[in-house]
Amino acid sequence: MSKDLMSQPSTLLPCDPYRIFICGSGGDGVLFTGKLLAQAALRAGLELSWLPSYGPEMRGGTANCSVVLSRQVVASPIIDQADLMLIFNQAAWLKYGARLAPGGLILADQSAFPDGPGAVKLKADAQIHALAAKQEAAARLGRNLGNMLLLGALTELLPLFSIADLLQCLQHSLAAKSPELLELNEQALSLGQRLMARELRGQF
Amino acid sequence: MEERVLMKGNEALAEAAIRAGCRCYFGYPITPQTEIAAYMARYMPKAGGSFVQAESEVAAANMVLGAAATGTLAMTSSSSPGISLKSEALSYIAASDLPALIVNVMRAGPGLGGIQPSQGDYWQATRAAGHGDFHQLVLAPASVQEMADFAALAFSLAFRWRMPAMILADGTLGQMMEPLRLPARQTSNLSDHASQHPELNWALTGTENQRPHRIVNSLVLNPAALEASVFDRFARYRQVQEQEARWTYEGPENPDILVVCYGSVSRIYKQAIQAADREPGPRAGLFRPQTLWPFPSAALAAKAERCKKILVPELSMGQFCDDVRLATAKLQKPVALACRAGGQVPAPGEALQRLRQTWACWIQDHEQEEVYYGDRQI
Repeated sequence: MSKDLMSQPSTLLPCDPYRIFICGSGGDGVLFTGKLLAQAALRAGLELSWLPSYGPEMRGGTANCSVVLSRQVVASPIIDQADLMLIFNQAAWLKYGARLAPGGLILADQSAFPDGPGAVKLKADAQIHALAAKQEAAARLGRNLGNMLLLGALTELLPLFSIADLLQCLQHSLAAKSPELLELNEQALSLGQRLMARELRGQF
Repeated sequence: MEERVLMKGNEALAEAAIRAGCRCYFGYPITPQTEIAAYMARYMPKAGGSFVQAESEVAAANMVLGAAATGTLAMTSSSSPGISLKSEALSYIAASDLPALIVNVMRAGPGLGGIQPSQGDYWQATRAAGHGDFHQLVLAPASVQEMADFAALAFSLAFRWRMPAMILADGTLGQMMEPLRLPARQTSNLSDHASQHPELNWALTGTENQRPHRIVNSLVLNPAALEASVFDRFARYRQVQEQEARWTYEGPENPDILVVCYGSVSRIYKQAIQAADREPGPRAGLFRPQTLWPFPSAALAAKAERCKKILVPELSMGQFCDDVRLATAKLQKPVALACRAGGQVPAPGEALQRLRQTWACWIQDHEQEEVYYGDRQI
């Protein structure tokens, strides 16, 4: 699949530039999640930018990063609207939710919406999906891998990247550190994909 | 051709400096440039060079002076408050006619200020890098690719003109990652011992009793001799101004609005101009200096002559706009200034709004000059 993507990167993007905003707290893996998407985009032959929040935010406060994907060299790495938002908790949703672009997609941990995603008022044409990502990761894998669950869920929602694409990128960053960790990340990705598939079946 | 890799601007600059032949790095940590020092700590020893975390910025900059005097490619990096501390050594390096690279990944000031991106050190970089009559080369990258490319360029210009070169970046450029192609490793380069390079006839490489000794010095107590050395240096600066100004321009031949900005701000306005092109209204062009000293005055004036109005967005309070006004003064075009400070960065939506506002202003009154302070208009 990745060879096809290389020759036709344009088929990947729902719109161009495709603006992704990831937000949560320190420890959620916000920056790493964005980095993985950025690496997958690089492998797919896309242009991209990755811009983190930095400074005291990294030491336990809120964290966010912006990833912009495009077929052309990215103009602005700074975005005021996001076509896709990955949200890890309620504080991040309250702080950044207004950035969702019309027609945008939210994929969140369910803790972002204590009253359920159904209670959220959204902009025109926007979509929202929430999963018990952190909870499932802790219960089934015994690890704080909610971010990988959400990425796995994303592969079910959008034809951006496959789990195989993400795993190839993970191998570079994790294999040297621990094969066991790589295995756990793989499990988290496919668990997220399965949960999202189940949720989608339930919706329709 | 090198493969595309994904790196932070800070890391790309550090790797490119090593590839350019830099073999001495002296630094002291400060956000948002610490990745440069961290990268150097890890990789400089592997390249056979020296990494020293100095006891302070002052010490680090003076270590650069010492290393540069031997003809070694030497550099330091910091962010705004740290650059102020290095300014004494910068003056000494310039007065000693030594080549060196200084990187400033700007954060918001004055004082300790904040750690978010800024361009508030423009005057310092281009006017007052230290005491006395001197200039330094100032390169302004606008992408991670340029963070890497300008490292080698800075060293080659510094050695060619025997003066310090500064790369003036900001927190956004230092922290962001983009794909880039790293420049090739220099094979025959100045990282060899300087005694192998006859053109470095000023470098302190040891006489080995084979030649008269050389002196690197900035103290000249005879006023006539000191004046002569300053005049000579400024004759050289005139050549630099004639030969080394660099810029890019994207847009129509006769733009309604000429947007003039540098660094990360140019990326945001590029996005806004692309959005403006999709709707009726003014056509805008983007003029981006890649060198801030020498400032591309002649090229800017030639472009400005063809526009109706100039818009200057910057992450500072009109410091950069001064140079735009100087370069275009004779043309008497209206100039609008859009300032942000404190680490606040305009988003593309704000930039698009500025383009529309400044054009609406021009339609009402062709002479009017305006200033935008963030969302506040005064």
